[in-house]
Amino acid sequence: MNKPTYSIIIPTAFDFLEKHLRTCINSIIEYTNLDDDTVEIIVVSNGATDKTDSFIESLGHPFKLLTFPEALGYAKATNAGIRAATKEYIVFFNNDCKLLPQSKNQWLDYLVEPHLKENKIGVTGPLMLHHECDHPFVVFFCAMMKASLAKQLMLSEEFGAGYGEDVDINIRAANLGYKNCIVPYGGPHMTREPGKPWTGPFPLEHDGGATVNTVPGFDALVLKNIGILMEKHLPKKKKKVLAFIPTKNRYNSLASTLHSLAMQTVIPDALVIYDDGEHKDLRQDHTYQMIFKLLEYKKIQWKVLFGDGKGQHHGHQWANTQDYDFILRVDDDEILEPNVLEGLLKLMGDDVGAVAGSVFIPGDPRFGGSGKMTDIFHAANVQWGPDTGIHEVEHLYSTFLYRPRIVNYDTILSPAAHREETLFTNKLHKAGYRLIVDTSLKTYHYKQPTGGIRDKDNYQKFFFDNDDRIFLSYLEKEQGIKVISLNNGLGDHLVFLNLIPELQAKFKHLVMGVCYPEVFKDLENVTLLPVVVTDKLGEFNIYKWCIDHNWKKPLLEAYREMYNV
Amino acid sequence: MKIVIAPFSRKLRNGATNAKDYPYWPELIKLLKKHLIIQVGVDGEEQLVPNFKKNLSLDQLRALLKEADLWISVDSFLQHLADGINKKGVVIWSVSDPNIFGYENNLNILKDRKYLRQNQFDIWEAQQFNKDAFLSAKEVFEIIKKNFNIDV
Repeated sequence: MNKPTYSIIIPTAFDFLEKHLRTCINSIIEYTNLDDDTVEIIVVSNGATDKTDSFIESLGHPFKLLTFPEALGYAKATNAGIRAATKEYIVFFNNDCKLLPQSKNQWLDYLVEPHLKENKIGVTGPLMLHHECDHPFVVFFCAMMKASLAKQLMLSEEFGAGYGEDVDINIRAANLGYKNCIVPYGGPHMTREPGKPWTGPFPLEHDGGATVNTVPGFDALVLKNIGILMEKHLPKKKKKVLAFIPTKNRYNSLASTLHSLAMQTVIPDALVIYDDGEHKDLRQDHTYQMIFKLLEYKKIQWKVLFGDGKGQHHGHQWANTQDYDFILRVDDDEILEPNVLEGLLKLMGDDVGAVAGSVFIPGDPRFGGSGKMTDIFHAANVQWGPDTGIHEVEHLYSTFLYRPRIVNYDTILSPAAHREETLFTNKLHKAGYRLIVDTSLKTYHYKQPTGGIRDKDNYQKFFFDNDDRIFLSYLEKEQGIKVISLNNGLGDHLVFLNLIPELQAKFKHLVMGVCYPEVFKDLENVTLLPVVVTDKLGEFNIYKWCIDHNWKKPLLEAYREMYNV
Repeated sequence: MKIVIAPFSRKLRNGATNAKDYPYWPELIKLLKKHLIIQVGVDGEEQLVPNFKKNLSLDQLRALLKEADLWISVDSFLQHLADGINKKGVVIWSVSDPNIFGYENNLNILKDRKYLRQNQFDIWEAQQFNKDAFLSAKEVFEIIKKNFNIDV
């Protein structure tokens, strides 16, 4: 069997030649066999301010000098050494280490022994500690890895001047199934008395506070790097999800909705049905009996809450206050593909407020919207068509997963709760959270013609008018979007044209329903729509306004007063 | 002189004559015969002069007005288009109120405020046409001549 070969990498900076490096190098020369070409020593001089370079050059073979004019930080400097290494094993060796009296190569034999005796050894070294991110690691003042693994993983350079990169590479090796272990194989191991260097049966003395610790700002760097390690490697807690389904007299489609939730590849922890309708005791129905048994079998805690007919948004606001990481809200006539919740959870980064998939009538998808608030009156919602990719939007529709307890639902809306989800999700967006739609995650909307807000007996036009007023007010005050409707003659349009500069000084965007779009063509930050779209949203009739105000002055002044500019 | 005329206001849904439409255009045109008169309007309107440009776009109308020495209109969109390019002209009024729907810069020819309709914002289909609400062609011509120095 061939003798193992070693590349010993020693990064060094500043003025550590006389303080540490010369002693370190001399100890390697004394206690390592350098005659048979099995060892190369790569000194990575970076930002050295003394005679380090000339000293190393004077030593000749098998010493190799890599030199950089500026200090690179431990990881970057070491990575330069890793790239230059030509031998089978890489030894990471700090410049404040000193080999103690031993037979030639005893220290290398200790380090390589586990590599020779077992498969899949990652990092070996004389000192193993346990980091706050809940992982053991071999400390890198003296450590060995197979060169092939070291070159595959490299040290992560996000740790700056130094601290934590050894923890990180240990964990990454362990995640690939490698075992990191302490040497001598089987012990005993190094110890340290307070204020004294580490010592033990491994023939090495390590100062442990002499080099990178002296860099200004080191304490702050340590804190930062601990944060990086925690974020990368601390086991992630499973997120708790509540599935919340408001329902009103749609007990037929509701059963299918519940069934699709029970069939999710990642199931919700709990499920609440918010019955804002007839308050039927679903336990008397055989199908529901089976569904509830299925939920229990799947270990999904379920319950039914009875609303008092004020609208689903009151139920949503209740769900919004519950102690769950995420709420999955689902309409009572929608069927989710089994992978929807799993897919939505994957999109929920820390900066994301809510995520959705596509929600569409099977066989009748709609396309073309941008997801912006200015499109809401005329364009298809991005969610209404499947498989158009992933989009970032300003509001969501219907079924989505969201982060609770950040913004509130608008409980002042009427029982129809028209636009409730648009308002809620746009407020999340306004609070700085991203809203994401992955249209490959499909929910089928059965669009029940009865029940819910399509219950015509209970949801009169005045409910929708009321909610539109609230919505338009929100758009103006919170988004700077002004909706205008000009159901008038060409002359009136031309009069109104004079008001545009003042309106644009007040609002970021104008959404204008018009009869003569050519009057307003080429205007920036203006969306032009057919007047039938906007006319139903509120009271826009200038002539009625003039009659109500007994108007005798120029028409332009009437517009100016009506629009408060 | 090049004079653009817009003789008619919007066609009414009930087919009746719009109360804003001036009834003495042929006589007025005769009085202005020395000048090049270009009529603008849309399909279905009566042609009053040989040079009738129909269905022009707003940009084309603006260009025509800019070139014209004078424009004469009833209370229609044309006066608003002209105001947008700062082009003064003549508006012949009857029952609609120039204080509400007109511009001070124009020459607003109104016979008498007593003819103004009570509800200025009512639909035009509800307003009966009244010839007496208008000045005669000769009276209109004299006012225009006085204010615009027309060579007759």
